[in-house]
Amino acid sequence: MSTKKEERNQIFTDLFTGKRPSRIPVTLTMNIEAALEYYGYSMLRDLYNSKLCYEVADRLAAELDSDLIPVSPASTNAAVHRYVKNQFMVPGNDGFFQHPDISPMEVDEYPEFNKNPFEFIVNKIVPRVNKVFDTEPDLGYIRMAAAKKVVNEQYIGMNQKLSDKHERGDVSKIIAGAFAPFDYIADYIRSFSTMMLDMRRRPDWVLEACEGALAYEVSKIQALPDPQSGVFSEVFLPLHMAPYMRTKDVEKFYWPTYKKIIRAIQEKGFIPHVFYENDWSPHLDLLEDMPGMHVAKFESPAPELLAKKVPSRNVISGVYPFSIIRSGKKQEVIDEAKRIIDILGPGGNLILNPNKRFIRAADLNVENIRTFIESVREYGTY
Amino acid sequence: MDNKIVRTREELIEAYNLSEEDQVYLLDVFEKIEQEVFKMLSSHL
Repeated sequence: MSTKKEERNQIFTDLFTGKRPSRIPVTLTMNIEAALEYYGYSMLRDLYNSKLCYEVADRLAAELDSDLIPVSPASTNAAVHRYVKNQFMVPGNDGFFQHPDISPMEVDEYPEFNKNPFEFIVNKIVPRVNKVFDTEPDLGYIRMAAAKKVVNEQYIGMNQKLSDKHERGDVSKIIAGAFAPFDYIADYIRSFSTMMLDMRRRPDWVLEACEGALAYEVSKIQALPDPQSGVFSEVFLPLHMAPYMRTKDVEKFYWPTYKKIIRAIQEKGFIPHVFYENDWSPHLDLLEDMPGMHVAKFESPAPELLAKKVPSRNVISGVYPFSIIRSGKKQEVIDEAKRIIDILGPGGNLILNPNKRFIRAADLNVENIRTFIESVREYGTY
Repeated sequence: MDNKIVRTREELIEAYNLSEEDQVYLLDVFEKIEQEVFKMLSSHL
């Protein structure tokens, strides 16, 4: 193992074991689509070429010296979505995929869902969402499994190869995704808009559905292989709905089952890596109630508020304003890095990471990203 | 054609209404998936 990789892995090891690392690590979160567009490739055509995805991820890693690889070639399942005709992931005219706000379950189906969520998902939700089932109801799951296997195999080993070639950290890995149960119902069973109405019209059904989704999510976590020795295996949870709810509703509908899925992830030996999307400022007091340690990435709350409200047993990530990287002046990029490090750095539990994902080439101000990385290196040493 | 389990390139183009752009790389992936479907369904013995 190279010295540079060892140094990076030691930093993440220290962070995840509650020690102050030698410096603040700096990472990026990016879609492969952004990298493809940045190097002039077409999303309509080239998004489906795994070798080109690797090539652009390799070129970007050579340009951006973040502590983990800046982008994974495998950050898209575009060919799977197209093959199974997934209505949750639909390409626009330029080939970029969007998640439409659709509701595959009607409100009067809650009792049937709540009776056996897994069977309802398998027999009703998946076939309604993936239109391959319309013409071939008996073959839908075979086609879905085959598509996932073929596409997954095309990208196997690419992240490790890039990490080794560019001497990036690889001691922590996101090995799976999960959802807060309320978000799962809102994102995949009902919809963003109808879920808020359901909460008012049939709170009992919603609460029962969250418990059902929790049981399903916990079973999925328990079915994962045990964590690999010597690696911090993370489960990623993007949180969606709570910022649109009052804190008392979050406490009633969202938090109890969210806390339980976090506990289940920890009990399996994984680290929850949570993205608190949008503005969680009104609900931050709830974090005191979170079990154990997790990586908490934030989009909007002010760093001063995070310093006060996020218990120090957790790792804070995100926070850095994406908008400054995308369109700020060089000095503004430097000043903001210094400001955040001054506020959150003393805790010794910070990963500095832009607060939003780079999804398109227009987001990639590479000069400013370099300045951001260099600033954290310069001012983030303990 | 809708009931055919393993489809040819031409049948995939028609079934998915694949554009010229889709036929550069996506069609190759779809063809591999069809082969995988065959492997899965023929592994019963």
